[in-house]
Amino acid sequence: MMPFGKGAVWGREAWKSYLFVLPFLSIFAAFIAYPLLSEIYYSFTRYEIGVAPRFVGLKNFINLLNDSDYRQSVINSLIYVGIGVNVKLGLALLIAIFLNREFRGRSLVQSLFLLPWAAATISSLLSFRWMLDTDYGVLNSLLESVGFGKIQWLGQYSTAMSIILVYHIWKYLPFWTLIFLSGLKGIPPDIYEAGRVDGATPVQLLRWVTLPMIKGLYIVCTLISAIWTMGDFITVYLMTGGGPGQSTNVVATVAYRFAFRFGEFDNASASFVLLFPVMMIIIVFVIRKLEGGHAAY
Amino acid sequence: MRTRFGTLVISLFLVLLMAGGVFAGERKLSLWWTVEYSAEEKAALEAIVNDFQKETGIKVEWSGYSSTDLWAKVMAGIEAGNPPDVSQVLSHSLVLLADRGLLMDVSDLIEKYKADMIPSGVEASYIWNSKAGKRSYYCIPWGLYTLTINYWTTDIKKAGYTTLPTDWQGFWGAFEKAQTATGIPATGWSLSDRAEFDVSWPVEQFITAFGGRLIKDGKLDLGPENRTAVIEALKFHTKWYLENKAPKGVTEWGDPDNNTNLQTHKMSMTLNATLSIPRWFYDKERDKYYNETASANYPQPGPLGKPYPVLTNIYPMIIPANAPHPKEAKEFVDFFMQKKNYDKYIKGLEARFFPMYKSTFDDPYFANPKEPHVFPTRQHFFGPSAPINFMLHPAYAKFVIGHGWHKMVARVAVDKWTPERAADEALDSLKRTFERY
Repeated sequence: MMPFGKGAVWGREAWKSYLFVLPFLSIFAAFIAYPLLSEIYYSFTRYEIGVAPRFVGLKNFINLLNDSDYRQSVINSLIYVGIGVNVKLGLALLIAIFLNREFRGRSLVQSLFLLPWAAATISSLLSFRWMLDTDYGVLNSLLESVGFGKIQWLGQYSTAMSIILVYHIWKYLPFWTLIFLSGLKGIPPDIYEAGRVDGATPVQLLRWVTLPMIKGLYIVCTLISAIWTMGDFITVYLMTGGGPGQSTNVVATVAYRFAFRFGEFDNASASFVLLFPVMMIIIVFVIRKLEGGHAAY
Repeated sequence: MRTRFGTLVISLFLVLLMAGGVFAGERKLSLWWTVEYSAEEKAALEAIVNDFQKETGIKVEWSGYSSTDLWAKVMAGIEAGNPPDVSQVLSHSLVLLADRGLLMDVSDLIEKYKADMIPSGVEASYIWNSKAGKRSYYCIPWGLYTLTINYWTTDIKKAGYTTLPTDWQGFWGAFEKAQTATGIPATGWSLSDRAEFDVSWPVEQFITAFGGRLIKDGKLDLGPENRTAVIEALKFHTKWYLENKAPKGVTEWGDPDNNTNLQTHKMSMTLNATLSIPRWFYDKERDKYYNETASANYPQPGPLGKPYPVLTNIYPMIIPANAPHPKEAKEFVDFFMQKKNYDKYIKGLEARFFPMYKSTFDDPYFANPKEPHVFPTRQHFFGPSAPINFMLHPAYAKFVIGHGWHKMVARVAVDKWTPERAADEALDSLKRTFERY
């Protein structure tokens, strides 16, 4: 093993190590670092389609903060991430614990449970929309058959936002359940056995064995899911188009509108850059939790 | 050995020379077009492309997209320096592109064909360019459309009418009476962000009917008369839904939903930006096309007792300023707009869009007074007409693209705001959009 020191970093043999990481670094630089730094740069410029970027300081951020539609989209994004991620991961863990037990037909249940994740996003979104159609949807037909009136599921803010959340949870719950299930399978059975010998109840085993062992994985999943959910564009775009009255837009759909409807790449970039501090707080919080020594493995 | 090597080098040189000759001699252009409605549209485009290739030897590489996808793609193509040579775009995005100096000035082509063109279409193509500080022709309008009025004649007959009244109150009142007679909702158009023109165009048309003219001499006018017109238009736009005279789901309709609801007779009448609904009947249930449905001309005079213009819009072709093959692009556009080629194409679309040429309107296809849909809609272009407002100013176009009217409508229909409050919020937003220009 090469001793760690100056020679290890700059020595004659070190270039071989750099050669091995070069492909990753190139991809990281091209697809992560460069777009990210460009986005930050553009957010401080006036950069519209056909107009070269020109530095304007904080003007874009001030304009966005004065824009009620943007402010609403930030609130919606926080709701979407806050509720969507936590409910989804909480449920995913519970279901994973359930699926981790031995019972008849477990394989079948597991396979059926994975179906929403396997279904194509666009077709499942369209199916949701048809089921929720005010005039012809199956849900309203059922409600009417038992004496209730029609509900405009996607035609009012509260229900439309709830449906967006329900779809998100329904669609991505299986994926995270699968992740947690594999995490649970990695917990050595001896620990449970030892707990049982000591007289621990199933609830106590969950509280004192399963949760501490899975905590690190759960935190990492929260971080990844929060980042993915923050960037989710297609659910809102196809489900409501940001309506009614621009009320269900999230930052991703507003940024799309700026970039591809108005050709305003500056505002599109600033829309996300404004959220960086929020995301950084979440990331730092999660990393600190991880570094707190609670990671299972 | 040396001889063999020499032969190889000479052969390679000759092959490269020939290939280079072929490539250097090949003339081509890329064409991005909207293909989203019917097989006839695609066939009509393919026919004109084939004719052009045969006549000029210029190879056309064409791609078809939906109109909203094309919009984003053209934006990305222009910005990336890899635009098409010729493309369709939606008219309001055309205004934004022209404003930023991203389109080729095609005044020479317009001048060539202008004499035979419908004036409101020509006017709509005369667009502001902030970069050049002037108005000019930055597109070639190949198609015209208006907000068509499609309805079930059977419902009107059940309400006791043989023909639709032509005055404002009588006209709209007939559909209210039809609802009483049939139990079918009188009308319906989208009040949702999932639709584009189906929301904003009726708002614009009603503002105009109530005497509003928000753009005067290229400037925004938010005087009290216009504010009143916006409020009255908003009341009229939303009253059908609020008074249960429209299907309940209009607050979540996308662009195709008014089509399907009229086609399946879930309402008596709708407003639609093209004749796509009648065309569906023509293709699927021709008897209903001729005997059970019709399209109407706008009732005149308007609600204020004065005539008002019917708003018309263009479907434009553009040549980006940074098009890789501008010469070939102009040749294609010129070929496209030549009467013999153009007529074949526009008729191939089966009147989903109307022609730009007055002489084409005289063709029996468009001028048959017994025709229940094409002929009444044709009249929109021959009475008082004007370009739709967003063609007149980029800030106005941006407001419309940003769903400014959609939001206003939803404020009343969904959030139950008063029309006055919703209109003031929208007009304030419109004013702020103009201030940034």
